[in-house]
Amino acid sequence: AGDPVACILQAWRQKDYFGVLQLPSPGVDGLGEPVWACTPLDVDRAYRRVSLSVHPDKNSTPGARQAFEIVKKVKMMLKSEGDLEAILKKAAEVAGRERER
Amino acid sequence: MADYRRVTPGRSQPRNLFSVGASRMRAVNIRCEKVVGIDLGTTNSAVAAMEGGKPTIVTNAEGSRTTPSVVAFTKAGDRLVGQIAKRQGVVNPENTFFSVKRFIGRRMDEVKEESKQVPYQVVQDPNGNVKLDCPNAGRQFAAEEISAQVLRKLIDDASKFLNDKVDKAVITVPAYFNDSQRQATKDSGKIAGVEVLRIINEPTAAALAYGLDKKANETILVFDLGGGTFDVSILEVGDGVFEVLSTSGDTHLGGDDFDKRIVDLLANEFQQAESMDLRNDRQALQRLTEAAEKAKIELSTLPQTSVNLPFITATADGPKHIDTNITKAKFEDICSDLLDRCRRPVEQALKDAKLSLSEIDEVILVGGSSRIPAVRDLVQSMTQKEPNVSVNPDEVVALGAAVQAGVLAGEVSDIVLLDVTPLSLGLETLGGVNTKLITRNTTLPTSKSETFSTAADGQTSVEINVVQGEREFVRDCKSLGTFRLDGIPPAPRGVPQVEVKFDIDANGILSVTATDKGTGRQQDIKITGASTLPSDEVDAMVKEAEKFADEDKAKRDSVDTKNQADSMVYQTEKQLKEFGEKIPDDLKGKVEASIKVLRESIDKDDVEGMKANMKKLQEEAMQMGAAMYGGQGGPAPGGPEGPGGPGPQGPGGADGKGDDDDTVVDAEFKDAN
Repeated sequence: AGDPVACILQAWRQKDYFGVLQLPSPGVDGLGEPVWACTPLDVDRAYRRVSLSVHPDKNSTPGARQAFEIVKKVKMMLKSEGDLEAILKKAAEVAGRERER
Repeated sequence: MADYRRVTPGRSQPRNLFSVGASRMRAVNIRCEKVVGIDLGTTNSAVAAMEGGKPTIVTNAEGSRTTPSVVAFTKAGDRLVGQIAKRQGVVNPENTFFSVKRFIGRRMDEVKEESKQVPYQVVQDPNGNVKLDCPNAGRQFAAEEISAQVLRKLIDDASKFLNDKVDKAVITVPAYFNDSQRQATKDSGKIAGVEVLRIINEPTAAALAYGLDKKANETILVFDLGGGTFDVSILEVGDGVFEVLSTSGDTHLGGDDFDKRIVDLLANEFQQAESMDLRNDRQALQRLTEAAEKAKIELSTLPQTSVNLPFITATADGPKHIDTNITKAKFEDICSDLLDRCRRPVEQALKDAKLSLSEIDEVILVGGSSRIPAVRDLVQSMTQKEPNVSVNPDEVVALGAAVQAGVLAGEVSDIVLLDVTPLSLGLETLGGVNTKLITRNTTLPTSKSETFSTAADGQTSVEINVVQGEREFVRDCKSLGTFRLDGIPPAPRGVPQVEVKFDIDANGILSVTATDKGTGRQQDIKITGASTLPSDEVDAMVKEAEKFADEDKAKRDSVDTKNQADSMVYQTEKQLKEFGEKIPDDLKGKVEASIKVLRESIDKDDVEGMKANMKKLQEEAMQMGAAMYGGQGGPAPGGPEGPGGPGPQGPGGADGKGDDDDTVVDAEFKDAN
């Protein structure tokens, strides 16, 4: 919560790509496969919504530009099938491990 | 170590108070200066400002909503801008500069074709850049300076219209303008004395104005055919975000080219009949160009138009005239290849946006040339859609620029523009290959780093050629200049690591920084061979423009003084004639003498003399007035003598009075009564 720029920078550092775009994190089904309800259209909308708050034209915080470039990069990743698959797989592993614990 | 970033609840309270105060101060500042949006067009320019939350076109001093982008220098040394400059173009073709946007930020070898089409002299400076020769001013101008004159007028007119100081602006450029052309446009603003907050793309600006009130998500294609350039942009608009997906275009295609076809048609016909090429006669060429533009405009609504150019030239047989008809069909025939050239950028933009035509919701036509019926038909047949004509193609770009100005000034919230770089940015690598670093249609701002090393042992500098363009070889692309990396510590080859960062800001303008990874030291970068003006030259031009402005003010002042003096002479003479018998002869003589002196200074254009003599005449006229009213009160011969007596003493005593003017005059009145 609070400063969107700080949130994005932190999410990026933690490799929480879904957090960068303020999208729900994927879950994991009974077979350990990732489940993510968001469509590419949702990613686009999230990208636009976040852009409105962190684009350097709208936000004069020093980190705004860096945050915007991260948002851009994450959007590209989540929209590229290959990248998304890898990200989801990783997220599923993490979720699976947490469940075991 | 103190953690100064932590904000305790106790501390946050006064901070908030302070920020409220600060924002209130800022609000006041915004009110006393306006940010305007300027569409600096090839043939016409327009200005808009946010008024009551809506972008509004600002009319110029002549009352028009657009201003011709024309600057002229007369024989008398006057500078004319806008409509008056355009009007005298026929009689002063060598000193009337139009379509300079085609030359801004260009090297001579890029504009060989264009330079032949204009009646003024386009020359090459020692750096290979374009300069415009002006015989009347006795010097050469950079295109930036001419554009600055247009900008200055637009800004001056806008501040008069808005009754507000205007010193910040958002200026639009064709989306397909490269870095040099953008930088040069920014320099023009600087020379004109305006702070350019942002350079934005014309089709994007049009989309901003169009989509301002749209709530639903739409994918739109902007088809912008202006006076000298052609742009196509595809945007996704929704939730207040204007996201450019792709941009394509042709910076050598516009309405001027259609005019040129008509000129050629007329000149060829004339050459066949009279075996004389009118294009070699600058004055005839100028008249032909104007007639061609008029014919083109008329053919947008009529099936046929006539061209009448009496006395276009003279031969041994006597005067020659042009009197002919052009049909719409003929016009479309001679322009068919120009129309074909509009197709490719549309296809390219769709391909880059990974969209098919069926996914486009709206097609928006922008630019005066989009009024040509054949262009509309082409767009319709290509897109299978009725183009949207709800916006005025001449004004929409300026309106959109005003919206962006409002966004940057904080007046417009909930809107953000995500624009892209139209051209790929790369470096020259071995064999003259263009190695692309930032690909076209990347959302701005963006940056990319690349690490360089040396090729030889002990090498202390590296030379890098930065290019913009899509072609595989550097020779087919635009070189933005070369820069040298100096001060690399001597080391075996391949060891030094210099990280070069290319950064394209929201203006689409590139900056380059370099750091030596070993030492962490910033490197010096000097870009040379660019087709923009060096910064010291820009500074000199800024100073010169200020000097011009002062000269203009002085000239204005002298004209005003002269008018005042003229009218004073006239008024006083009229009074002398009307009330002559009521004024004592000696005063009359003095007034007449003063009039004569004032007249002489008027004839000599002596401003200071005029001012001094006007002051003297005014004092005497006041005495004259006093005498006239005094005459009414006392018709006796003693009456005129009464004021006549103290009269000469009055100014005589004026040496000493100075401090109390009014009482002396009062005393005179009492004396007379």
